[in-house]
Amino acid sequence: MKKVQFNNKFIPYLFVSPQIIIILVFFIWPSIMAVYYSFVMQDAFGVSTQFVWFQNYKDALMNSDYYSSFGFTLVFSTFVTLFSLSMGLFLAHKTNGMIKSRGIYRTLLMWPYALAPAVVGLMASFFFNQSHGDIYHFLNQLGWKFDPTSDPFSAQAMLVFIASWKQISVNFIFFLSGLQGIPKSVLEASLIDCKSDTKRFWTIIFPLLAPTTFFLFITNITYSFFDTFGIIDTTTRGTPMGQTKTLAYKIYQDGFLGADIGGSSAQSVILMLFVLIITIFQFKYLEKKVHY
Amino acid sequence: MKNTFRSKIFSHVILILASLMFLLPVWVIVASSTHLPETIVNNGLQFFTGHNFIDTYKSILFEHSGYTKNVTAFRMILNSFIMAMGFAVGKVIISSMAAYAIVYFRFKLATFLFWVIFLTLLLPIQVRIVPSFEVLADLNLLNSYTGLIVPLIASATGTFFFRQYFKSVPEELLEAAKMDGANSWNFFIDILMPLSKTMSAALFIVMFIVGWNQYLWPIMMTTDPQYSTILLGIREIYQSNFEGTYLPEFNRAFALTTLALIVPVLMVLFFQRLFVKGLVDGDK
Amino acid sequence: MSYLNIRNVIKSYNNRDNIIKNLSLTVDKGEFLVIVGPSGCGKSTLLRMIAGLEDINSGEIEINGEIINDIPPADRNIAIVFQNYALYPHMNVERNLSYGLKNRKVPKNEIAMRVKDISKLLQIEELLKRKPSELSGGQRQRVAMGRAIIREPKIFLFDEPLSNLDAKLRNQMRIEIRKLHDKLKITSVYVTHDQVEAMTLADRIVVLNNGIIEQVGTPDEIYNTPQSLFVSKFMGTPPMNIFRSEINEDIANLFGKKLKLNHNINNNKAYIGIRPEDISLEDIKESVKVEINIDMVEKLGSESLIYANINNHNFIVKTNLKIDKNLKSINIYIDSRKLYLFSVKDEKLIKKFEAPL
Repeated sequence: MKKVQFNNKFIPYLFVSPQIIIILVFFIWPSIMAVYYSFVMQDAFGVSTQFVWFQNYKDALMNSDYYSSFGFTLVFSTFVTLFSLSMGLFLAHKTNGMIKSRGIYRTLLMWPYALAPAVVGLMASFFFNQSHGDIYHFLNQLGWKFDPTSDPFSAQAMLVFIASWKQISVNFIFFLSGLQGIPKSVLEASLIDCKSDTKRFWTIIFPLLAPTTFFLFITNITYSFFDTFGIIDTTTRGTPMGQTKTLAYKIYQDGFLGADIGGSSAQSVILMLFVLIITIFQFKYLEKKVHY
Repeated sequence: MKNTFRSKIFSHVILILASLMFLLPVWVIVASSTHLPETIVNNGLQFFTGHNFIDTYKSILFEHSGYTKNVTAFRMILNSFIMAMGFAVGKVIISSMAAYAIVYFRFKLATFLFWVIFLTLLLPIQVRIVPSFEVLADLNLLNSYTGLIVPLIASATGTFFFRQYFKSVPEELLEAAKMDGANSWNFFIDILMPLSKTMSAALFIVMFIVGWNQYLWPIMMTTDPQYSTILLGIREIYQSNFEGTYLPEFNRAFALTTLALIVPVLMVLFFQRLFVKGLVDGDK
Repeated sequence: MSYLNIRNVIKSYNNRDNIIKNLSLTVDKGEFLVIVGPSGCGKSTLLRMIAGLEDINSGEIEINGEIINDIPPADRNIAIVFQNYALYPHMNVERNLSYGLKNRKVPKNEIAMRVKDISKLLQIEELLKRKPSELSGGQRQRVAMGRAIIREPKIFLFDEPLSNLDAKLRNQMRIEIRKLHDKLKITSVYVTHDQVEAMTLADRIVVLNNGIIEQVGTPDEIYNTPQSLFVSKFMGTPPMNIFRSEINEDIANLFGKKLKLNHNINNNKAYIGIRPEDISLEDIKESVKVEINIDMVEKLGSESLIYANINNHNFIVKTNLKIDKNLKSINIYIDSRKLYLFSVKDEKLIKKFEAPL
């Protein structure tokens, strides 16, 4: 914080209060309710509630649906993160190597950021559709019995593709700006010290991008956990056989559509804990990073 | 030197292919939206534009017909615009104020309140969806612009963004302002905010796009089509296209898609530098 | 014997304005050459072309008889010390030093030996495990030097290596660089805009202006016999006083006074240059007396600088006499035997007058 500051007992609260009030009403209060709901059971009409301790958690965790959702979320986010990170880095590195055309490629590769996941999902639902979809037919012509409506693997692969496609631009933008942040003279020094392009990339450029990579790694995981909601809701909606539900999508289906308040709340709390762990991890790292 | 020439060409090929991978699908959707529905059903997606552009877009924008019987696309675009605008402006105002309090004042609860704001990062909508709906219902905010906008503007990203920037403002500036007799309100309005003009604009642009692209929140908060955003509109129209029994009007669905994506895409293209600044400087 | 040979080199970034205009230069083996010039004169570009970091539009660069135009930087066997050091921020000092050797497949035990020798030579033995961010400016400077020396390059390039240091450290490092050179005798090309660095470090100085060599010579030659108006103004603090003057055969007109030169000039106009330290405040032989108005007196301890004007010409006099700060005007004596004459047409030196010793 600043050394020079204002000393006023009242005014700072005035400035910070709009945000704090909204947070209390729309973030903290619903979250507390979620925690509360996760410990109670309601009858179908919401007339009587009963405190059931960890029953909802047990029910959620004992359910094989939860495990398949958990497994899918892990595999899905791993692949999406892997693909979109490496593609983003690869394209950013190639773009950064251009001199005259750098600006053009930057524009051509970053604009998909503007597309909403839901819009991407809807467009994809057409391309992967059995009756009109070009990609659907192309994949089947290749000999893959691709059918996202009945084959879980097809559906999962399709989601990974769509979600990665959508996320590449974000990674591209961050990596490109990270690359441009590397001092030119350090790159030149490495040019004198090392002849091989590949080796120079892995020994100098990639390590120097570590903070960006780490930040994006976290961003991509959060993206695949939460922001892919729009993609799933506009394509598979968890089908076939419930094999394409991320944990967040399952909470939505169970709680908002299925009205299983207790179960979905318990899942919410588990997911909150997960985000908490990721965030702590992130901050531990950020503290370390300061050293260089 | 010849070697580098060859690898240059190779890089160009890669980058052009990647650009096409993003451009082509979107272009095909846009181009197909200008064709007759029969053309699409019989011949699939079209690469070149057709002749039905004016008819399709006119009817979808202004007529209460087709799959969006109750509401015109014009109304939905307006709703999306109000939501994106309100979200972006609200976010800039609220988070700059909070960041100002945290950076420039010494007060007891500063650290605590900072952590409260930080907490929002741990609570994406997806994990508090049912109770959020109940709170909005209790406050009578379902189907209202307030309900669409206000709950979303409180998340921490904007506050972090401004906090980071305010910390980089030289301390001497406050000292000089104090010497000139400015109080905390003067300093904020006359000096700090004008100084943060670029940063505010950058944040605004990113947040406008984020606001425009909101999906789950409007699904939850609106049941009245009068408050439907363009994203909900296309969700509806695709559903009825795939589930409907008669001739699917894909051209209308594509036209609606085009309308939904054109605004944020143009924002990114026109304000490229600001946009990148807002994204990259803000999220770190 | 010439070791580095630059022949007719031209460089431009946009194919219109040449940054380097048909430049030729040779550097002898073991020589310490300093390229000095104002910012934008092309001196860094020239250095970077030698390193291979910039392409050459035309001409040749030759090291030890081998033309290196198309050889990539890593194969030229040169080393460069950058202005901002350009240490690899994610590697500790030891890895910074050894990175270039590893890539050249130097055996491990030899790398270890050289790291040991170099860190001893530069007194950075205690710093080997530290990251660059944990070093002071002077220490980083040393590591940057070490990284260059350790490869035993054919040529050592310096790109304004001291400009990020404070004045005291700069003096100290300057002396160390020169000592190091005397010890290792590696051919060195050093770029700077600081004439003090140029004067103290160089075996020979190249004064570069607008992509053209104004003069090449030893520090003494450059200072005592500047071949052009530019060199005379650029080298020397405070710079030489320059006045335009009418000249009639051997009589120069200086502020309305007649000054007899022992040289006949055909053109009737010339620039007359006088070094601030060559102006006397006491009457001397063969001089003219001029009264000047004092604007300001700057005391530098052992000597004083008098900023003055006469007929709106600014004028600087350097003296070690005691000057009263409140003095409004003073008489100066311009010695006709300590003048420089430059041509108005091409700004080259016409004649230097020297007082007999």
